[in-house]
Amino acid sequence: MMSARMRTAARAWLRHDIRPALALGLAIGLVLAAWQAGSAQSRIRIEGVWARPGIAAGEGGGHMQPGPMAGTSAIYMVIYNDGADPDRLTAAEADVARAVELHQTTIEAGVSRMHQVPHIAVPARGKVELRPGGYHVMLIGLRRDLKVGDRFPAALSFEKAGRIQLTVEVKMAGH
Amino acid sequence: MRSLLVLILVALATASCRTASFKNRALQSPRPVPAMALHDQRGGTFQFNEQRGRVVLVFFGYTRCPDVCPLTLGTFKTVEGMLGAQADRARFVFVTVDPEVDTPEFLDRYLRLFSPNFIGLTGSPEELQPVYEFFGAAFQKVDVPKSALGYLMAHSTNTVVIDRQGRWRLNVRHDARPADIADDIRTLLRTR
Repeated sequence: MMSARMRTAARAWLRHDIRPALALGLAIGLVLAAWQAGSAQSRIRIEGVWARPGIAAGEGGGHMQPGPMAGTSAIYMVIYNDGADPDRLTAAEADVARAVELHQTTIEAGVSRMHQVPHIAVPARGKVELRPGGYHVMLIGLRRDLKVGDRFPAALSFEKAGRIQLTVEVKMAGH
Repeated sequence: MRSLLVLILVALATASCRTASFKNRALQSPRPVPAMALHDQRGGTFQFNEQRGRVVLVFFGYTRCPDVCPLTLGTFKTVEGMLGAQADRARFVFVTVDPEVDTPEFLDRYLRLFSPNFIGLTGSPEELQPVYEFFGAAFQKVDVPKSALGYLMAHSTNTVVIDRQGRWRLNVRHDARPADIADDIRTLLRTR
């Protein structure tokens, strides 16, 4: 049998002591949940997506005839990483092209060179710009002409953020 | 705002009239362009030294080029718009450095994406070589075995500008401002 004094003390303990503990527990839980969500969900934001115009080459190919891989375009954008961990763009897809690759243009002493890159790093709490004269998603072997104002779907794959779908608008470069 | 713009334009016009100074890099001594001919995308012949009275911008590129070429053609498009009624006194020329892929038909469809007035030139290796050499167009085929492209061209990014008297006068960088290029074309159309 508990005495009245004990019951009062227990109630007081419940009232005064357990509540902060509960609140603390809840807060830790929320932080953990947010952290979990953060690592599971995308912290990648993509803005200002556009592609340059391009034309599809004929299926034929051969002598003095551009082959099917001849028509090209490139997708540009700014990739923001709002997370605390760095991420990497590892691949891209787009049905408008037969092949989609990650490339980088460098211009040194007035000479432009391009090379394929295995991935494009997106720093933590930072951004990477894909723009003419730098990184771009290269569309090779266009299946149809891309004219200013056209739109087409594409998808990017990130090491941590996973797959992100985009709608790309074709715009004139050089403005 | 508009009056400020007019003021700036007047100031620039007077400045360029007095000194014929350019926004882009001028050659120390203008070089007369020799007789050289290539074929345009519509089957016509383009004579480099028979464009007198017009300012000619020549860029060396290829249609598969990811971004410097379309960027330059986009810049040309903007410049063409800025010139307004004077645009027909300028010629925007794209000379391919990848003639195997860039057939006249392909050049035609490609250039139409930018402007129906742009001229695309190609030719046999014997016809192209002296043009590349005279304008110092440097390029190199680079194999990229892992890429679906197979190969790429490393190429010079300058645009050369020929004046109304058929002399190579200016070099324009790939990242030059369209307004500066339009200004220099107007200067060349106004001065000797």
